[in-house]
Amino acid sequence: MNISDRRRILGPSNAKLLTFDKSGPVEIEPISSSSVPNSTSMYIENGLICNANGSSYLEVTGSTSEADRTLMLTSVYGPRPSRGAFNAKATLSVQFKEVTLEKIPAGELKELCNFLSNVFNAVINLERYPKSGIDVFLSLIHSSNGSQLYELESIISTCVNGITLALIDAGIEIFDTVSAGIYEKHIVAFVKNGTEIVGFWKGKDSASESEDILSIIEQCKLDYLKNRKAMVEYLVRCNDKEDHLQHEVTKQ
Amino acid sequence: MVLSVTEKLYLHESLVSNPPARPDGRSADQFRPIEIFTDFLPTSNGSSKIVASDGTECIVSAKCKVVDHTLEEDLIEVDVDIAGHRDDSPLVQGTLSVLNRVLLSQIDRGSLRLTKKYSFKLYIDVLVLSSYSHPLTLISFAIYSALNSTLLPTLISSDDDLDVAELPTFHDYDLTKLTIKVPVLFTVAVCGKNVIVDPASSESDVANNGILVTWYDGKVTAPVRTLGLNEDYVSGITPQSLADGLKLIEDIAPKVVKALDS
Amino acid sequence: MSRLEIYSPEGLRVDGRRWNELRRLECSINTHTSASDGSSYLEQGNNKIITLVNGPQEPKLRSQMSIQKATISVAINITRFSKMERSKTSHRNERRVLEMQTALVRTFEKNVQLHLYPRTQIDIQIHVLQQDGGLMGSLINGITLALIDAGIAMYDYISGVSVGLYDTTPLLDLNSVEESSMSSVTLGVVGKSEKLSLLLVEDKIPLDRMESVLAIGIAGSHRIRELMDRELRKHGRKRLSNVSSNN
Repeated sequence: MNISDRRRILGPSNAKLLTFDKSGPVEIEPISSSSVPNSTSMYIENGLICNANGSSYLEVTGSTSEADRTLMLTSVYGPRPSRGAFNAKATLSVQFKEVTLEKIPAGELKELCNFLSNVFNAVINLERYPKSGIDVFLSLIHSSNGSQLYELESIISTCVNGITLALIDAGIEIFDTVSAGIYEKHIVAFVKNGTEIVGFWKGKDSASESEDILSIIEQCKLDYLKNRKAMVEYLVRCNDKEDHLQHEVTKQ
Repeated sequence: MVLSVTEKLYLHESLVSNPPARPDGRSADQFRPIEIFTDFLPTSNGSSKIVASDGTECIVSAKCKVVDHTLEEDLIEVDVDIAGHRDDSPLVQGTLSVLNRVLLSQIDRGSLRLTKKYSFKLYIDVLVLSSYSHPLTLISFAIYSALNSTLLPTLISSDDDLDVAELPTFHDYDLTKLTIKVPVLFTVAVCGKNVIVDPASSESDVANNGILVTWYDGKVTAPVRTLGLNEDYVSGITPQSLADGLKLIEDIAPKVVKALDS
Repeated sequence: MSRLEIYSPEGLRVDGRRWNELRRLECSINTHTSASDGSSYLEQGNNKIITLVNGPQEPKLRSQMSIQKATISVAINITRFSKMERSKTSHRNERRVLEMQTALVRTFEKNVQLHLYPRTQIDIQIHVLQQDGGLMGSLINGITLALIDAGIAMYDYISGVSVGLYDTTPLLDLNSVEESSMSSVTLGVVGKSEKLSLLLVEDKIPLDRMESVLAIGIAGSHRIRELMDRELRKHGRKRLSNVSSNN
């Protein structure tokens, strides 16, 4: 018999057992069916990481084949007190990590983080949280795209959508739900129903070289509206379910 | 220089007004005067120094080395050192990554080809002595002029060395000019509905957003992206502003390249 | 490859100088006005060095502050392209560079009137664009010029030069070919005096030859001081005439 076992502290005799909430994770079906050609499907799950203030898990299946998938886990910590000098507004930091295989060069990741923090600097109400820091951690679980080793475009848009969902889950004030749309290697992060751009990324040259920039943005906007709809629908459904559960609890 | 909240607000208002009133009286599509010196480092194949009117200074050296291009994948390597910034700071790493990618993807490998087996590899070292605004534009101008003044040794052995194992031999003193097209990067600041080119540090501090535009071979190419110039005033821009920014570069880039060539 | 003749029987060195001749020395001050409080650009032979002085200014860290006097910090940046062959590593934290920095701080601590600037810091930043032997001496000259440009009070000039010993002949102001083939010392001489504020001996030198080595080194340093002084006076006159013509 183990010696440490005998020394086990059992706690006071009048201790009560912990009871856990019976509600399981909120399930949601993939939003768009794969029967529609040239469309991506998204699976969303919020609040998977318990010790983060907010988190989101995103599974995006590509438009061309089932094999193109991007799996991303986003966690948000904060607003938490920052040390050092007084800051009138919160400071945002974004960090990206590839959990499984490290395929993306380090410099490119730094660029990506710079880009994302610039996007979210514009939409988080940072004045609301003085003397604090908001830390966003992105973990790329899986990304595959047929011929290429990785596809930065779909990763970036997943990052933008993931961070927005995680920020909402954390209850951090944002001016609007940001979401990204892709069209031919162009990624545009929109707010305000597609009238304003908070981020634009064109990493590689595409076939649509001669196309007008405004029409490209218009195409991205369509993708944005679709993505945003999926995200908002999920959030509303979660909310309804929670309300429902709350209702049940109060009835008991 | 650190500006107070009121000063920034005043500056922002004046940049948003129509037409934009820039603190140094420039028009929206006007650059600050720059001075470029080339070929001052005898131990480098090409060198250039660029000084902007605000004291931003950048020195670029291009050195070459003969490598086996079947083994060496990248024929260009860029290194950036910005005084006052650590090597692992986001600014240095971001600049480095953008430059490496732009130069590697745009510059034609064939122009560095020496024989069927060997090529020149270019090492481009960038030293920014002092920078006040986003240094990317100046760095790219400096790289442009350094590479356009680069002289490489002239090959005198045969260029077909697949069958005969022979190392390339060079002429004792004759040099050949390197002829490659080099991409140029521009930063544009968006303030309200206005787009201004070559933002000074005070203008960057109050800009709503920045756009990085690459110009290569007479047209705008990738990467094009938004770029954070500050943390206080950053906000969304309209699609029209983005299009305006690209239009602005399309208008002025040929003139800039012409000026750099002369 | 045939061995280079370092010192020919006729008394000529690889670059055609005699044993007691300096390399070309050109300098200018106030070259980087917006980047620093004092700056200099120095070409000594094929050494090309930019020196920037910032200060006296408030130290970034409270812990670096001294109540009695100013503190000096020296940062040497030897660029990767400074030699013929590009170096694979940056020289930032190399032991040799760190030692040079400490030696320079100690040299100038004794010569700058630090007690005049209590609670401040003087930052010296050096960029070596090209090097060709005798680097330490050139660094000293560059710093002296930049400190003068910054208007920081010093007791006197410090001028530096390296001297090698080839068999029994001392050779003044070595270039990199000579430096790699013989033992050498670097001197820092205070003004027109024969006082040394730095003596750097990294190789073996016979003690009985030391005196002749030092003698030519001191003479060379005095000459360098003269050249720097002439340039500074020229610069001063130019600025004075600009001021008076504006009035």
